Amino acid sequence: MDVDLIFKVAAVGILVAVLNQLLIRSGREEQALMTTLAGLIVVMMMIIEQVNRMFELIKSTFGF
Amino acid sequence: MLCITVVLIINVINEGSRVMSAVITVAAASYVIYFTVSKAVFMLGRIETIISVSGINHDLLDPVIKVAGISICGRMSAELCRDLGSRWAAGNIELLAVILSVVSMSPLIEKVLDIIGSI
Repeated sequence: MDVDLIFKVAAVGILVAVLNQLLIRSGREEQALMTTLAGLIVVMMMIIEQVNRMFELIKSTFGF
Repeated sequence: MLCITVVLIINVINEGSRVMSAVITVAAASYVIYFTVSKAVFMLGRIETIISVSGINHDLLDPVIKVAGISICGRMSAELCRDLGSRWAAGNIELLAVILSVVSMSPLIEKVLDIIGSI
């Protein structure tokens, strides 16, 4: 688990936030929602594995 | 320092997309917990050494270490849910953590009752 992961997620977040505002201001709320959804899926795919590794570490450390 | 940086990023992104700031919060919290627990492994190694030297029965201490793990996970998840605006989920997580802790401690309680009974 690297620190880079957080900043990659932050980069995707900033990109999605900007696109979201851009599309909302230009009257395309549906596309804005789709963009947010796509960004959410991409980021979730990035962090799901890391969260799983975290819980595996906790289980092995505390003897579950 | 990392947490301050992440909080600043979250405040910037919060204006544009609350969903993305929530996901960054989860990513950052996971990394911090992962980093902390990976350091705790050394501490637990020391504790194991002390336990073996002092001759304390290992069965008595395993529940205590398990409860510590449950409390870390419960506290982190509850605060994360509260941070993301879901208080009912936080309350449920804390309740479940308490129940799991009591269940984990039950072997210890049985041993104590046995010792009292044998006196």
